[in-house]
Parts: sequence; structure tokens; C-alpha cells
Amino acid sequence: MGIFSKLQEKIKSAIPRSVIRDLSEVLKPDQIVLDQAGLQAFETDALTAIQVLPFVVVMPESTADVAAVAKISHKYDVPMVPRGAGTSLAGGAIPTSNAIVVCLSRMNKILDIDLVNRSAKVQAGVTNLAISAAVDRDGFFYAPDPSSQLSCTIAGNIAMNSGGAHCLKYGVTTHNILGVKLVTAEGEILEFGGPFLDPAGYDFLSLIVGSEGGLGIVTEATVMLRAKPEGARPLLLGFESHEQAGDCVAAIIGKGYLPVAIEFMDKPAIKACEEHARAGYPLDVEALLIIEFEGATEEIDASFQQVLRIASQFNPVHKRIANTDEEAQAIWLGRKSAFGAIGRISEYLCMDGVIPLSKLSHVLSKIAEICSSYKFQVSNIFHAGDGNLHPLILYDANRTGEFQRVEKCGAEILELCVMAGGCITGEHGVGLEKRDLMTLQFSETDLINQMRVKLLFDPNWVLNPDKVFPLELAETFRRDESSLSDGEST
Amino acid sequence: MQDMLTPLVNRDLKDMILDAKDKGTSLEILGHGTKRMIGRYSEKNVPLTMRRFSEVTLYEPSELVISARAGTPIVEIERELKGYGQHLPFEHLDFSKLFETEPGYGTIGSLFATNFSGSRRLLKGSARDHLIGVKGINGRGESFSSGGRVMKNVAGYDLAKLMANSWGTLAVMTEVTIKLLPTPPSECTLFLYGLEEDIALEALRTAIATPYEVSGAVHLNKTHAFPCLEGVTYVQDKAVTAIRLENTPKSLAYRSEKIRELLSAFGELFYIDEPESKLFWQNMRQLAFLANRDDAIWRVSTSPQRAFQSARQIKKLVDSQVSYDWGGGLLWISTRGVADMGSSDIRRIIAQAGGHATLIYPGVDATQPVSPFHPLDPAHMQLTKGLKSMFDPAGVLNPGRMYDGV
Ligand SMILES: Cc1cc2nc3c(=O)[nH]c(=O)nc-3n(C[C@H](O)[C@H](O)[C@H](O)COP(=O)(O)OP(=O)(O)OC[C@H]3O[C@@H](n4cnc5c(N)ncnc54)[C@H](O)[C@@H]3O)c2cc1C
Repeated sequence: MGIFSKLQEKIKSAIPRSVIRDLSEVLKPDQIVLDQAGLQAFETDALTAIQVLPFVVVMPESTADVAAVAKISHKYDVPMVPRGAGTSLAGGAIPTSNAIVVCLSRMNKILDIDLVNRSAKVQAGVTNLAISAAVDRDGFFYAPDPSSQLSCTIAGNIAMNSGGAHCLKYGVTTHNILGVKLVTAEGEILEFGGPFLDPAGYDFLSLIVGSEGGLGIVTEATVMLRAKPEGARPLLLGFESHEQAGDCVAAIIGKGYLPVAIEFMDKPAIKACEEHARAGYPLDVEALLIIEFEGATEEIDASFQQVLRIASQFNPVHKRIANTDEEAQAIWLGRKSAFGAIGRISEYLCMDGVIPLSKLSHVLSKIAEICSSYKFQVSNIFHAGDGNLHPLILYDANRTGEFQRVEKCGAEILELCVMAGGCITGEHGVGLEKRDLMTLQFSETDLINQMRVKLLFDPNWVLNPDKVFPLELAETFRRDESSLSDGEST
Repeated sequence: MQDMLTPLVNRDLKDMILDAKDKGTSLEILGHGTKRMIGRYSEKNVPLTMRRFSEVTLYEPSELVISARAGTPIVEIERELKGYGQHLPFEHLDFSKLFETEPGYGTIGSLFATNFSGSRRLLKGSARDHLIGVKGINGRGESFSSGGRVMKNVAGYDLAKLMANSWGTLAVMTEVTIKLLPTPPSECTLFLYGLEEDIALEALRTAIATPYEVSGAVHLNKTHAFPCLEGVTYVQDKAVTAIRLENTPKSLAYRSEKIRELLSAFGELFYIDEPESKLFWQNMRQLAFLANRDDAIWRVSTSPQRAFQSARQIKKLVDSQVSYDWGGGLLWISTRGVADMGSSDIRRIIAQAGGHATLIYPGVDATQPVSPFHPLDPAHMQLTKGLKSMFDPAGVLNPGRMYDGV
């Protein structure tokens, strides 16, 4: 059975019209989307294969708006689906048809920049890149850098615990968030953390970050700013085999060098990128590494020399150092346009598994085997420093049944990642896409412990209700839990 | 003292927890017990030590990851890492000098349960940030795991990091997996002497805002500075402002020169090389500066923006000495001669500034009981109790250690 075929929407028989009436009492007319064409803009996210028309979309402009909407959702027991820019690749922002979609894109103000404190307070809908842009002139930046950073929102990043190429050095969202303001499922406003390190008591921030909109609606965030490095440049290394490239990454890290990014591309990816971006990548290699270092010119040069020395044991057949900004941009251009380049060739399903680096060549050859058994082509692009694989499985979306087949193929790949000691998602999250695969990685008890946290924050299970946890398990859990609490209270 | 329970394997631990749950008793979860002085202590709890859960279960230097059973001594892990030029980057605190316990004790589980990170936290993050996987048993006697051995993992809710700073009240960790970092090849420290606090904090801010990756930024008042400077070449009987850099020797030469130029207006900068630099930061990690056993000791996390003002207000009201770590974000306050250890004033002022204050050590003048952990507001307390009841409904694990009823 495919991943999505289990999508069982629990459409409540009649959603009271009074929900709309109540919403229009607390929001302005232009904050409520009800017309078919308007709703269609919210029927999917970057997981475009699934579309569900929501019941209503609201566009809050303040935390108070969000709290007012949540109170209405609570009163009528109607689900809410928080939404930022809708770039989730896991279907995290895809609504259910009985849901109020709460889209925070209008809450896009930077509220405070505090350079003494190296932090910024921003509204939920501010884009990732806008934060860095706002402090760039002062020599600071916000570190997590998902490839979607131009459009994705900070709240979406918080919900998905997003990361990008540079997280090898700077960590992902959870390492860079100091505080959040949150509206609970019942419409209460809570704050966790603030412009200081390591909040008191239990680490609620660690729960909120990565909770995929299931614990509360984030309306504001305090993020950590970092001083910008003096410069950054990549070098490019081409190898005759995956093994050599993988071993080279392991050797670099094992020898004590921690570049700011290490990206890996296999041959099909290199070819597609080169045809599209003309970055000057070699076409006669099996694997390419892009390794970036930060610092002053001489520091980067010194790091390059060390890495080249280490790499020489693995017989790199292509070496290119970026000496100027232009050369650096050219090297990154290919990588950054990789997904688009492959998208021009074919539809693809982008997987997001993580593996221990030591298993890299084993996993890559297994992925090739799995895909060829399904007669799919696959192209691998990934963050090698932290083992976050992105196999792009190419398929023909116009053939009936192909999507189900490609899902199945993807599920096998993720199972392989877990078997190798890794996990089913490194940055895109679980969402709708991978909820049924959670059992690959977690035992029932593991998931029950997580669901108890959801129940604590969201007792009626109205926040993004059909995401993250396998539906059947969630159903059973909620039934057991409610009978238990009935029993305990009597 | 009651007999100590000493489980060896998960099965034992689970049985002990279930047994306590059935009998309606409770357990005090211990590693080596080095941090037993911190937080609240109840005679009623049966002590249970995790010290026999001791083994490194996985170490992959090329992936910067190590897993160990929770009772593994920290020193053993450090010894293992040293051979590969890697380290635990967050500089966990060592309380042995302060509490006059034997040095070299402390378990890896308690390190995360308490999440006390030292000076390098400023640049490299907290202990919590490096905790990527946990296996444990909750108060219901259920074994669970969260996270894993790969550093990027966003599957489900992050219960691993939730264990950090939970002081053994939610679950007993049985195994932890940690992200490591390469040990920097060399370090140096720049000292400024005798600066006024506000000027010193500005100097630290200026240094941190550079691209030179300052990995330690402290200002110690004259009294606190003295014990930390033991063995360091440039000892002076003055307050000291210290800025640490860690990198290759060549980079250090370049970066320290840049900082020196930038900070020259603040006064003469003294360059401290290894091994004195290392010694100074080790003294910091061991809280040598607080070694006066008469004083009560507070550890305060606050906004660097408000740190100086807050400290000034506190000093006006309480007989106290203040030093700063994390470029001003962490205040170490020692107080004397006050029955509540300065609690009411410190907590009120810090709450206004944003942040929280933990009582590390009560000193000799304490006569009033004080909550060691910063009191939570009602909404947070409700959630805290809720979380406790989800993980440990019968209150078996360290009940009351952090807060009443938790
Ligand atoms: C081309 C492309 C490249 C990408 N590259 C990366 C990458 O490199 N790294 C990476 O990590 N991700 C990547 N992504 C995935 C995606 O961009 C991230 O997950 C991003 O954080 C989503 O942000 P968003 O604002 O679009 O959120 P949405 O897609 O709108 O929502 C994502 C999730 O967040 C929840 N949410 C949104 N707002 C709130 C809120 N205010 N409160 C609570 N929950 C909320 C939603 O309910 C949903 O579950 C990429 C996506 C695309 C399309």
C-alpha cells in the first residue's frame, strides 16, 4: 500500500456555519478566505501530488488574531493547520477539508534587532533570508540556511527544524532559536525562552522546534545572530568512485577539519546540473564534493592545502579551488540549481534520509539497486558532512500508478537508511508524507511517548491533526488515553 | 542513609522503577552524585545509582559521534576522545573544587541531565545542543528512545533534548549519543586588566561581534579573578577581562592581532599562550573563582543587553560579587550575609531583565529555604506538571528535586 493511500480524512459531517460567523467577528473581511479560487491557493504545499481544499483560510495580523482564531477552533472543535510559505516538501501544510488554515505570511515584521545581545525578535511570517538581510550590514547573519530560504518563513523553519548546507558548522534551527511566542490549541498565549541562553526548567523549546505545527502556532521568534565570517570559498573535488569521495569526507572530518559545508553529487546529478547551469563541473567523474571553508583569505588557503593533502590519498581526478568570489559562485551555482535542473528533465520524488557516513558507499549502491529494481533512475545530491541524503527518484507523473510505485521505492530507501543506523528525515520533516514510515524508526512506545507530549499541548488533537504520527496508532492511542483518564478520574 | 540501588542492565532498572511505582515509593536518581548539592534533596527517596551503566558503546571519530551508557564516567569518555583529537565542546562544569568532592567524578548521563555548559557555550552551543540521541526508561517503566546516532534527524518530537536539564525527573537515561567536535589545534587568550564592568562588557561585545570566533569571553571581578589566575604568567591584582581564541597557530596570530587593534582603546591587551591559557579556562570550568565556601553562589542566565544594569541593581541591594561569562549572558554571583542568599532581589531583578537564576550553593548564612531553581510562572508550572505526569505519573523519579510537585 502506498504512503498516501492511507490518507483517511475524517471529515466532520457538518462544520457549523457559525464558525465563519465567529471568525468574521474577530477578523477583518480581507483576513478570511472563503472563495473557491482563494482556497485553491492553499490546497497543497511543495508536496504538490496531494491537494485538499481547506474549509476556510485566515490571515492573522497579530498574535491576538491567532489567539482569537484558536479560541474559535477550540469552541467548535475544528482542526487548525498552521501555514507559513507552504514550501514543506513533506506535506506539512496541506490542509484537511475540515480545517481552518492559519496562514501567518502577513505577520512579516522584524520587531527588534538587538546586536548587543546578538539576537533578533521577528514575527512568524518573516522569511529566513530576510533576517540575514536585515543584519547583513552590521556584520551578522542568521545561520540555518534551507535552500528555500528566500521564501520559507521562520515559523515554518521552527516547525520543521530546518537546516541547510552550512549546518555542519552552525547546526540546524533548534541550535539557533532562543525563544518563541506561541498560541496554544485553546487560544492561550505562551512564551518560551527569550533573549538569553538555556531557559529555566524543562526544555520546551526543544519540543516546539520540530513539532510540525502540532503543539501550537508560533507567532514570534527570538533568533540567535552570529558574526559573519570574513570570507568563504569552496573547492571542488572529483572522484572516480563514490567510495573514494565518501572516504575522503570521513578522512577530512576524522583528521580534525570541520568545513562549513561538504556537499556531494553523483554522476547523474553532475550531468543535469552542468547541462543546466554550465558551472564547469567535470563530466567524467562518478562523484563530486564541494567543500567550503570560512575565514580570512590566508586561512581558507591554508585549509584548502590541508584538505588537498588529505584528499590526495583518495586519488581525486579533478581539483578546482575557487580563488575569487566569481569562481566561488560558479561552483555553488551548479549545486544550488541542482533540484531545478533535475526537475527540467523529469518529475522526481525527493527523499530525505540520513545515514552514518561510514555506510555511505554501501547505502549508495543499495539505493541504485532498489531504484533499478523499480526501473527508476535516481540522482543523489546531499549534505555529506552530516550524512543527509537526497536521492531524487525520477518518474513519469503521467503514467497511472507511477506515483504509488515511486512512493514505495522511496519507502524502501528510507528503510535502508534506518537499517544503516540513520533516520527517515534529516530536514524536511515527517508531515503527511512519512507519517506511516515513523514505525520504521520508532517503536510503538517511542511514539506513544511523543504523542503524550502532543496530548499535553493539544488535548483535543486539533492542531495539524493528521500529520507526523501513523493515523491508526494515533487513533488507538487517543482512544486508550481517553478511557484511561475517564477511569482515573472516577 | 538508605541502601543504594545499583542496577546493571535495563531490566534491573525497569524492575526497580516498577517496584517503586507499585509500592508508592520514590527514587533519587544518581550518577556519581557530584551534583547532589544542587537542587532539593529528600531523605524519603531511595537512592539509585547509574554508575554500573558504564560503557562506551559506539565511537566513530570520522562521524564525530560517540554513544555511551549513561553512567559512564565523563573522564573515561574524555580519555577516549583525546586519542582522536576530539572533545566535548561545551565545557561542562566541574563542581569538585566547589563542593570539595573528589575530582574526576561525574557521569555522562548527569552531565546532560543538568546541562551546565561552560564558557565555550558562547560559540559552540550547550551540552543539550550536542545531545543527539537518548535511550531511557520513564517513570512508567517504559523503555523509549529518541534521536539516534546521526546528527541531523527531524523525525518526530525531540525527546532527547527534552532530557537535558530535566534533572532525572522525567526519565532515567540509560544511553546517550553525543555529537563531538575536533579539539582546536591551539588556543590563546587576550587579557585586559582593571576595566570597569560596563567597559569590560563592551570590550567583550566588540570582540564577539568580529568574525574571529571568540570561544570564551569573561570578566572576573578582582576577588574572583585571583584564584583563576593561579599559574598564569600575567597575574595582576585587578579585575580581568579575558577573550579566548582557538584555531591553528597561524590563524591565532592573525586573529589576535586583529582583535588587539580593534580593542586597543580599551587598554593594553596581554597575549596569553598555552599552557597558561588552557590553565585559566580550566580554572573557569572548575569554578575556581567561586571557591570561597562561605558565600552562596548563583548562576544566572540573562540578556547580555541588561546584564550590567541588573548586576548593578543587585549589588545595591545585596552584599555580592558579580562576574560575567558568555560575553555578559551568564552571571556568577556570590552573596554573603543574607538569610535568603539574596534570592528575592536577584530573582526579581533577573525576571525583569529576562532570564533565570539557579542557586548552586547555599553558603553559610542561609537560614531561609529557597527554591534552587528559578520559580516558574503559573502557565509554565502547569505545563511542567503536565509533562511530569505524562512521563512519570506516579512521581517515582526524583520527585520535588526541581520543583514542588514535579
Ligand atoms: C526548493 C525547496 C528546497 C528546500 N530546501 C530545504 C532545505 O535545504 N532544508 C530544509 O530543512 N528544508 C528545505 N525545504 C523544505 C521547506 O522549505 C522547509 O521545511 C521550511 O522550513 C518550510 O517553511 P514554510 O514557511 O514554507 O512552512 P510551510 O510549508 O508553510 O509549513 C511547514 C510546516 O510548518 C508548520 N507551520 C508553519 N507555520 C507555523 C507556525 N506559525 N506555527 C506552527 N507551525 C507552523 C506547518 O503546519 C507545516 O507543518 C525546501 C523546500 C523547497 C520547496
